[in-house]
Amino acid sequence: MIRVATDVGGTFTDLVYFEIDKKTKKAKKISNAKSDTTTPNYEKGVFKAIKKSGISIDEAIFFAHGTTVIINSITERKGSVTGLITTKGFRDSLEIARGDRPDFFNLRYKKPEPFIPRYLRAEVPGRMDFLGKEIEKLELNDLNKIIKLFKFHQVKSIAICLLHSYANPKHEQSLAKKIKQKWPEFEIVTSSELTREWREYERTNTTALCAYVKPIAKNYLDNLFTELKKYKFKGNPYVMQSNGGIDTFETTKKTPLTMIESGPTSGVLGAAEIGKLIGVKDIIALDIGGTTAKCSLIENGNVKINTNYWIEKNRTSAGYPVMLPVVDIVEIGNGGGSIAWVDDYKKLHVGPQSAGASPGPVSYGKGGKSITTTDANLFTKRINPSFFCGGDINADTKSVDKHISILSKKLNLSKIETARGIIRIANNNMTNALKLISVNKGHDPRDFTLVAFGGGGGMHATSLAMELNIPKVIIPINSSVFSAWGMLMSDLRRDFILTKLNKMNIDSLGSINDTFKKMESKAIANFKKEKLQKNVIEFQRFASLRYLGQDHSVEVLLPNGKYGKKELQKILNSFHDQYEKEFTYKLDNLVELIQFHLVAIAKIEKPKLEKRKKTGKKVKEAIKSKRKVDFDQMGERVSDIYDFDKLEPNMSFSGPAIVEDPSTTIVIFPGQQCKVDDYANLHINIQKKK
Amino acid sequence: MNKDLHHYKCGIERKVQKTDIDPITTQIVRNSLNSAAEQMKRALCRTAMSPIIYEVLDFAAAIYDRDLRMLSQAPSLPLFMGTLNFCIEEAVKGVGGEENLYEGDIIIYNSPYGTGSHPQDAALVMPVFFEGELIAYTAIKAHWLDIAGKEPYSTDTVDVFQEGTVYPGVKLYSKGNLVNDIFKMCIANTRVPNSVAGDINAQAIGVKTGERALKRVVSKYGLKKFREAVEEIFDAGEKIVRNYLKEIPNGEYFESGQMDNNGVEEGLVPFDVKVIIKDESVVLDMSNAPPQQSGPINCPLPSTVSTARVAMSMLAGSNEAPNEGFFRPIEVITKKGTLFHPLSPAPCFLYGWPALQAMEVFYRALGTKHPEKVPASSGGCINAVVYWGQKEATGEPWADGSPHPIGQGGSVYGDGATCLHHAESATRFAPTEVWENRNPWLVNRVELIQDSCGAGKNRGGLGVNLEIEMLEDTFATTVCERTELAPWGLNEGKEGMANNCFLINDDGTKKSIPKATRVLIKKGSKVLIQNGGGGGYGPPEERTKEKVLDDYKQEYISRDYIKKYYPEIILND
Repeated sequence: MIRVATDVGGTFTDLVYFEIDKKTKKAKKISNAKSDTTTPNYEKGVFKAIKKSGISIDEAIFFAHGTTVIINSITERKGSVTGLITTKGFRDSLEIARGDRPDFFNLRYKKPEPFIPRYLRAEVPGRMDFLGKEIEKLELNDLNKIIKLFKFHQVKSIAICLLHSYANPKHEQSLAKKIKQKWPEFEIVTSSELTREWREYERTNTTALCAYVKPIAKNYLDNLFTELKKYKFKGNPYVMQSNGGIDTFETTKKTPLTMIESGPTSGVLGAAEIGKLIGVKDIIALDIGGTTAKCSLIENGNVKINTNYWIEKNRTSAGYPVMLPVVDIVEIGNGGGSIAWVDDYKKLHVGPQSAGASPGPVSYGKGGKSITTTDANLFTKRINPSFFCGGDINADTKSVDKHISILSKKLNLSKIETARGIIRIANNNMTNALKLISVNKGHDPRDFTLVAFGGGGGMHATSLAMELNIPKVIIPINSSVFSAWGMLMSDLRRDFILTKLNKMNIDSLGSINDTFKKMESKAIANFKKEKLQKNVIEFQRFASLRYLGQDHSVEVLLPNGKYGKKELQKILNSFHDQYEKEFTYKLDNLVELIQFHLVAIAKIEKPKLEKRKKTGKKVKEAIKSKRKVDFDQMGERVSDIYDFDKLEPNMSFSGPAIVEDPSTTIVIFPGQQCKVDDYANLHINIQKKK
Repeated sequence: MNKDLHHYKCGIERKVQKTDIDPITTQIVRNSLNSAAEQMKRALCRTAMSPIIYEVLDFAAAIYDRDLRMLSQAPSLPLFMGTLNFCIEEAVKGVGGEENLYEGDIIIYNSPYGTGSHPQDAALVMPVFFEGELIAYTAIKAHWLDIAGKEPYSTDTVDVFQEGTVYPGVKLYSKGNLVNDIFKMCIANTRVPNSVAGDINAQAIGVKTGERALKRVVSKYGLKKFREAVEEIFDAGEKIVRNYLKEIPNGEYFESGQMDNNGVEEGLVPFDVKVIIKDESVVLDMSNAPPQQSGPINCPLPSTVSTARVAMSMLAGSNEAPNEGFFRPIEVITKKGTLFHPLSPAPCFLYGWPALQAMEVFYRALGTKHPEKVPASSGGCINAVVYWGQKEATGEPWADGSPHPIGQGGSVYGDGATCLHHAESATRFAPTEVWENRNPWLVNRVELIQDSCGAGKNRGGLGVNLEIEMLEDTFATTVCERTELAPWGLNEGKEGMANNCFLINDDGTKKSIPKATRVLIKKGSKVLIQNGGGGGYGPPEERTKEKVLDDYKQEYISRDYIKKYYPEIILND
């Protein structure tokens, strides 16, 4: 029996599988395979990877799939021609956006261009009010004309977003129905099937993006499904979603934008799973890859989800909103391949430009001329020059020396000071990202454990933890296939969100109980339709609450079941506490419920991990060599180099040390203590700063 | 030198002459200082009670050294940013000077002639001590919803005393303890005591957050190293603005601007601006301005100086957060007792409007000879409208208000942006779905105005029409400037459409109400805010046919517009 996860990235398609022991149901072995991504026929790459791994897919009892295809077709603007139908008077919402300029002092600021140009944005009369009451009938006399225009411009996909459809989706539904009946050739997405949350610009843009990628996504998933069936896969395949769960192909095809962040999400999920396994509940997950670093905060074992997700948003652009439940991740352009450069004012910067896979860092010897973070780590000998990329590549130390020298002249520094400087600036950038998810949201980093993974996680985690006073770092075993592992540990999850204002008092309890009940029956019906009712179904209820008259709200976890006076008081108490934590004060004001959020989870059977075997070896036997490593302000120190694969449970040692496996380097500073746990994850205790 | 004239050097020079610090430490100190200011902003937004703070970002948060040089500021309201050194100086004077400052003190100060603002914009100033030595200040100036003027918002005050309560520099916290008497005064002098109490608290938390963050930076590197890094940071900032100025030949550039009226009397209020470029430095001479006005459009000195600071930071456009160094090449000349340097008790409730006008007139002056260095005019105003009333069903009072985005001017770099705030960079336009939930409104349309863009090689951005039907009787105060002077084009570019604000009665009659206080809008009547478009850059005949046809396809421009401005282009369909 095997369980398989595949992940289509921009450059590579990864495959990870567990062999499951039929008797113990434990995962015996984790293996992986890699192949090139095959644009635009992605399923070919997936099957290449399957072939390379040597598994036969008909033995698989589980197949989960993550993909960057959606986000790539958006960032590369390769979606389909899309039209929008919206409420009369509001077709420019997509273009007006919020009118802000994040680059405050830039007079040449360019607004992000809408995904649907103005001439493909049509309007229909008809109005709902904010309570969902019809105040003007939907008028479809012009629909023929609109469709004719769309056809003239070769529109393939139509986004429908009407004002206040979160409160009442009837107009959107009848509009969609009419088009489907008369013109079945169009793909259609209505805003109300994506979300029932208010704010028309954000919702319209989300609907537009979803319609924009729908034809491509459908085609892609259909092809993959056909191939899987051809190879006699018997189970139900799943797609990784941005909300931290997986879902079926059928459902994903209807609203494919939900898989927009499937890659990064599964990594965070993996960190949460590791935490569950070894009893750590409060985690800062950090994934340092080639071009970016991503971080997310896990509190009490719960991955944080929000619907305030933006793509292409940065210091110089307002970006585009995606109003869907997405794991709360902060991403910055700072990874191993990030380029160090000196500006006109002799200031050193690292990123966000990246050397990419080709030519890559200077040390790859593929003609790269821009020094990257990886090169600086090599220069300081934190990375092993003679075991570069697991020994696959001969590190081009000569070129690194030459190009660091060029940078150092611009900065008027020595070469080693320049290399240290690059690492310091990179760490400084990442520290700021980590502050965004912790300190700035009222969380004290001292209460958290840093779980770091990805190619560069182990290289920087200990420095970052020192800077932020995080007491402990965990580097998980197999951290390079960590994301896929997260995928294999997921449940099927759907989020239902509904904006509906209710005062939090006795009089509203009927309406609140009723709304949750309706949402739950809808979710169950939803699962039944797809024959998932055999799975164990769990609900989690959340509500966004605020003080009456305020805009700030917090999402509170609610108990299940029917609410009476007692439960109401309990909910209010946890609201006041949570609000105070986030906003530093609480009030006596009346509390208002703005938004209902129901999470429906269909449990999927998962394997248990086996512990690493102890052979009784001494820790010394795991040392493969010694070398001088530069520890910045602590200077150059002779360090023990450990082989990650030879470390066994309960071994412990202290820095200065480096732990290596073919894809990871872990830097342990002088004085830091490292201990190996039962699963061979490394726990590094960080010395408290004076 | 003319004795009536007031010369103000906008940036202070080096204090430590010899520095020996590595560029990496300097860079990390710079990042840490910016991050400290950012933390002040986040603490304030997280804690504030009023959307005007956490949504409109009507505030500035910054850190200054003991010599009142700006170390860093958080992206917020640019026009406030350049006034904070004045606020600190006057606040410290107010409590009797540096010798009366103690660790844990927080001073409250809002006298308009020292803050540059109307009394609603109150500054909280906190001295920062390191190992017993006064080393810096953190300061936040933020808009309080109400500070007990004659109306919640006015366009017709005749002296400063009608505009709100004045706090002339008094301690709100003394050695870390809240001074209850002062706090009680603040709460007693407002129509919305809960909001103000919450926002004062947020502002105090903000300056304290900055104090802590700054101390962490200083203790990490030591005072000596820190001070050396600061000098390097300022020098680099100075170079950014000098590099921009270097490309403009020495010379004097003239332009004039105008206000539609002064709020209480009819008639245009014109003013002249002279820009002198000399050897990588700039003098902005505002002294040829009319006497201070009887209505509230007087702009106190700190805001006049801020206008100059912001305008130059924006023109230099480096993606870099401004600091004291940016201001060193700038000098401002004003004349006491005039529009841009009014004296007490001149009313200044609408101080921000002439300030915003002046900023674009600077650009225009430079543009007379060097159009490639500046953009054409934007829509030219924030078109603020404030509404209030009592809900029919419950009798509870409600209030709302907002500035609005406009079209931006075209420039050598391309078309002007559509519907964007000019100097109120951070302000976010509110969603109709939220508005209709909150207020008794039906928003009929929020749509781009066809043909509102100034034609040119690079056209201006489009303006936007916002039409709101009142479902219940409502009061409104409107402040729309530049309804008379259309957004100018540059380098032969054409004018954009000017701003306006209309009251449309249910019988369909339409009345222009650009600047009006406490107008009753009856149930069923509508307010139409016409937010102007940007001016064009370069001769229209140089615009490519492709671009004109695309504008037509997008319905940004009409057939008639093409006939008028691009007559050589013939449409077939």
